[in-house]
Amino acid sequence: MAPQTDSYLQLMKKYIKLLTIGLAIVLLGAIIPVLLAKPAPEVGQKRDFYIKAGLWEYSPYRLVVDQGDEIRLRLASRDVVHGFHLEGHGIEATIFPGKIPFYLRNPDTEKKATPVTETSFIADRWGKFFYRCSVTCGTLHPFMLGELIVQPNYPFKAAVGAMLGLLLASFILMFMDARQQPPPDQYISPPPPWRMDLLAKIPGLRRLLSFKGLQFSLYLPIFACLIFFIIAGFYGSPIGNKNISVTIVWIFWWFLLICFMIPFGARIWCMACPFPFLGEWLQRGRLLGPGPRNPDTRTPPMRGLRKKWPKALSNIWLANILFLSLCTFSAMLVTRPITTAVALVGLTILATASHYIYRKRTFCNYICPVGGWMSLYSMAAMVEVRSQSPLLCAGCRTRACLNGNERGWSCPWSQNPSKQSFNNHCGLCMECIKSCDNSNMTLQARPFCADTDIKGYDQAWMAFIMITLALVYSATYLGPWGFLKSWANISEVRNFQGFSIFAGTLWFTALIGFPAVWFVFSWLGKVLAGRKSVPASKLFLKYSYLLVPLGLTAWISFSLPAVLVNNTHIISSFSDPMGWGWDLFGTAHMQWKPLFPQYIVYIQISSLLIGLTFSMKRGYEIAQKIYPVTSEAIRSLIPLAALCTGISIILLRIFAG
Amino acid sequence: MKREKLATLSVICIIILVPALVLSAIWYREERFLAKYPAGVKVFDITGVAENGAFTLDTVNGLNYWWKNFQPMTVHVFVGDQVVLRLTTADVVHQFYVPALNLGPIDIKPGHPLQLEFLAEKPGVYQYFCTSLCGNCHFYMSGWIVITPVGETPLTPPPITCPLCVPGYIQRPENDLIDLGEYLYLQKGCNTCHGNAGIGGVENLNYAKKTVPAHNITAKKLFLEKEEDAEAFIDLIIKHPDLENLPETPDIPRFHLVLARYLALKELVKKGSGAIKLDEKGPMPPLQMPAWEAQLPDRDIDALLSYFLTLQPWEEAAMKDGDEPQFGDEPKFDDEPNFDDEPNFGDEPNFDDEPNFGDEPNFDDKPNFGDDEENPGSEKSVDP
Repeated sequence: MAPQTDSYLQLMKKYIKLLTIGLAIVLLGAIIPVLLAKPAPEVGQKRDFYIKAGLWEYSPYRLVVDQGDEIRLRLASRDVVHGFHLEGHGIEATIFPGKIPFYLRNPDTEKKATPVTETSFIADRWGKFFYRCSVTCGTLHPFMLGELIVQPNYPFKAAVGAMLGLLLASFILMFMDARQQPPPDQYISPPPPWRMDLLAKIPGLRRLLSFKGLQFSLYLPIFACLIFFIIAGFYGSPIGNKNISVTIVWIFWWFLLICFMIPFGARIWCMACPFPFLGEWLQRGRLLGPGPRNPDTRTPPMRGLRKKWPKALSNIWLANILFLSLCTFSAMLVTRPITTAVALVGLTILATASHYIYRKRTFCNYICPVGGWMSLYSMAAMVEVRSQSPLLCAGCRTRACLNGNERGWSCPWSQNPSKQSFNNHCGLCMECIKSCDNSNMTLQARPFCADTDIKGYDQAWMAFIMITLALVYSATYLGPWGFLKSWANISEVRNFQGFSIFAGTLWFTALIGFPAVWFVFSWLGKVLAGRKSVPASKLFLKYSYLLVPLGLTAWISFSLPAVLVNNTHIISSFSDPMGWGWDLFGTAHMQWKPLFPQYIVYIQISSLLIGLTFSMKRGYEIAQKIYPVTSEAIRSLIPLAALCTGISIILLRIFAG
Repeated sequence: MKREKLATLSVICIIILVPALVLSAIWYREERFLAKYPAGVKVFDITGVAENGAFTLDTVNGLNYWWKNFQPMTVHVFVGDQVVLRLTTADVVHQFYVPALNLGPIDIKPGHPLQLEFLAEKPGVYQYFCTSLCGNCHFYMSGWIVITPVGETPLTPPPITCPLCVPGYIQRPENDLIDLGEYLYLQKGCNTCHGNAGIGGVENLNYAKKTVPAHNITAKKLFLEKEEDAEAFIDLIIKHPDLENLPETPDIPRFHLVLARYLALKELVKKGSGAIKLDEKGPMPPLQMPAWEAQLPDRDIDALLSYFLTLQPWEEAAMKDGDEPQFGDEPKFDDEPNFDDEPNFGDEPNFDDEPNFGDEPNFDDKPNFGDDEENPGSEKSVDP
């Protein structure tokens, strides 16, 4: 055993060395642009700005000043009452249209506002500060913002430097790793990626997950919420940020889903998702597990038509298209209670109907628009349900996970849990853990982005759709450009030409443009690698996994500001769910106030850096599987890795630049 | 099996209980609310809808907001009624104001409903206004509160509806400055206060000059005495967007004076002006000139003003001049933009020092009044 430990120690030393070098390069990348940046002039200038607020943009939407400048602001409104909340500077104004004075207060210290005709402050801190509308002014009010950039904008410069440093460091490390690889005869296989059996580690977890009523006790309150949100959407206030259906579903739930459930719990949401609840009840005729049954029948009786889903559609293409269609109308979907309620009702009916017609969770596997991208991003998740010992499964005669027994249903996702090796179609319903006769099924923790094998083009395209949406949404909803918002907001603005451009660009980029660019870069990778036997299409498919960690973190950095900026809407809607002026818990009249808005950008930067790091690391592993020679593998990765860095920098530009 | 039944029961319970809970919450709150008032109190639930330019008594919810055409309300009560107006908004900030009843002006913010109470005492037809710009239809967002003596049949003044909301409303003309001015005059709702074709005469409660200034005398106000002069000046505006830097002085009598007056008028449109009270202790006049600076580009104001210049009725003007009440007969109210008072000018006109913004504690803009013929109740609105 001794040499083994020795070699592991060596390996550890190597890792630590590589890690140090990598970190040093990234840090250097961050520091150099900061040192090179032109410092602000000693004496600040006086700058005058006349900002007009309109539906849903500020004009000018971007103020660029130097640190130390004295900024004088005059504010006016072009249409309705707007607000002006400059984060981190203690300035909040209410602007009445047709009036010269505006009402100014310091949101941190003052309750009452005083009328003034102008205000001034010193831009004493560098960085980017958003000014947002603080008075509900219509549907897209939560996205109405402009930006003050105080130069030198160190965070942006440092972040871009760090990104480029990361790209450079990744390849330096890869080449070092390749050079240091010992000849095949002395090759020590690296330690297998770690897994942690959560059922063994956490006392009581197995009992909890085996509890018959677990899924039902989650379903029940969530289903009650669903009914309530539908009522609120239809009969509550038409103002989105005053209606609980919008604040909880699109701000809170979405944030939980993308920032916590997916990265740390895979498709754990699918376990408690209320849409298939009625349908599954219809299929099973029972709510609390299968229970005792006739020993002659192998599987518990299922109701409904139990049709087979067509083979041609047994992929996530349908989900891709449905998701993209829904997302085209995002501006309506997430800002209006009625569209939210209609979407909730529609998905419930669709799910129930397909549960009645088709077998098991066909809806969740192939139709659900949310399910499509969840299946892709759950590859990155840090948990998995797997069998512990394949040997035990091979000897298993009852195959309870496939056939079901009195403790648990057969896998509702039509998977074979005993042979499961990827997360995509596992809904973490825990039925196999309940039913397994050998207690062989378990819930494991694992490293971030542990599944790396993209199996089909449907998944690759989902990755393209998601990254395109992250880019387009970041520009539309987190960017200051009012025309993009007006284009997206078709049902109200009725600018059909603009909407056609918006929707056309979105669809073209997601389905054709981005994949085409991806293919060109894959082809470049193939040329760089210089091995003819590996087709560019293989690189195109396999490397699309790079977009999983990057896309997930891009979505996290997009969704995070929504919840932090609008946190008071969520809290106040608990007290006044319908927007009817109730005050159940005394929070209904809370002043709108973003939660530490100045620090959001640092979370976004770190999130993107983490995503890019994992893209590079997993990219290297995938490359080594494709190419027998490591140096070829690394060269093939260069173009796409650079493209991913480019995408992160574009996102950074929107968030921080 | 017992548990299974229990679970089934709980699902059915949830499906029934959630709507029931909402309904009972509504009922409970309503009971508690009414308990605060004597029996027979009249409660009106009023929702401001910007899209239709209406305070409406209809229920506005997520389901109907996007398609329904909400009708402006007429509140009918009898003398002696205790009245509670519960105000809320379905979209943006509105401001509710009934000057003759001394209710408001009060901001109605989204998500923060509020109440106004009053005892109906004097019979009459009182106009209510939205006094904070809330969209295209803002200037039509007005209507009536009718207080009728017990035993009489209530009057039914026609509601004020917004003609601008009609789909296919005239397109913005870009080629002709005067057409553009006419379009803007209607589209921005100027006509609701200044009268159709600038005839003025719209009453402004407790306003020092009683009615909103007319625009069909703009040419005279600029000292353009003859039709040719006015036409020459309009030509000049059309040809030279920058009147202050003309290559040569045009052939218009007293041109510098005319220009100074013109620029001052433009400044007035840009900066707005508060209407001065007739009775210091009385209510604030509901119609106030908004500052258009942020909403109208310079050239649009040029268009409006040149349109006003064409409104002057030249033929009769010579005879009727003296009868016009605007020309100097009125007592002098120094604070108003007095284009009517006889000028004392040097080159600079003197309305720069007017406190036309910021002095009023509640500055509100002006609201509306439909066309004059639409308002049979307007005479009745002031006195009982």
